[in-house]
Amino acid sequence: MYEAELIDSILKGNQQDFVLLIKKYQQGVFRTSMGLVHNTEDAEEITQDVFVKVYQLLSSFNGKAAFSTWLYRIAVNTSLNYLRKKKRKNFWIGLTDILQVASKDKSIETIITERSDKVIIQQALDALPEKQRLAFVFSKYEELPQKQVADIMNISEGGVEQLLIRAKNNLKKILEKELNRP
Amino acid sequence: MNSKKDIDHLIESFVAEERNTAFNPFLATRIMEVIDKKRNDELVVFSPVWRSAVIAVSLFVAVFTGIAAGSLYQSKNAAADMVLMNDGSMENFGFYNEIGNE
Repeated sequence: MYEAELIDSILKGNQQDFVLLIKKYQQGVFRTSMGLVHNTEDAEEITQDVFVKVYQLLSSFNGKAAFSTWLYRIAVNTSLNYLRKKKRKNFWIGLTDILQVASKDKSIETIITERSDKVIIQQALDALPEKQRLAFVFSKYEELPQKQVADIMNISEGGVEQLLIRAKNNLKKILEKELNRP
Repeated sequence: MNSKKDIDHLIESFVAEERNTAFNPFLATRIMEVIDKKRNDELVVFSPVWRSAVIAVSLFVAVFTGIAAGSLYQSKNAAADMVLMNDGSMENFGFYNEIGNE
């Protein structure tokens, strides 16, 4: 069944056809979320929220852009909102944890230097400006063609190219500094 | 000391690892359950905005009906009540003074 027919059928009330749509795109949405939140449970929760939103908003999808473009935009907005909420929530918890551990047996400096390479890469990715991070995630995690990334981000293909170059340079700069620390 | 090549490799392996992370195979079922639950909840319970609107309208209708009912009421026995309240009419001494009524 073609995508447009599938959407029509869902809008006519055939709820079970929505499962086909979920199965087609769940991996893509999950990967995109994973690239932004780096945690399986969080990425699953975001994927769930994205498809619930898609179901609720499906009647407003006008077909001007491809369905996948519309879906990825929802996925990005949901992931970024999730991160903002989580950041606010975890600020005090994280600070308390560090201070508690530090006061027990390790100094703050020891905790920070004990970070693994993986955590450093994750933090370097998160430190990238939002647009660079999104371009990186879409092209490296989801391997979307540059044209589609440009459509999702509402910029030109040249703009995507620029964002990717800057993202890679910034990542290397951060990582060289962090990983070569004595 | 990490060379540029090592850094590229580190980034690639990190991305590959996250890309290949498996998710719950029942994710689609879980999503459909949430959608079903939301649909049922919408049918049973009004949204907070609608609930407030219904309460406000009910209150207005109750007050308006009370005022209208009060305004519409007219006593049919008003004149008789006034006569009963008139002591002169209740104990008409002239009545006893008339011959034949003693």
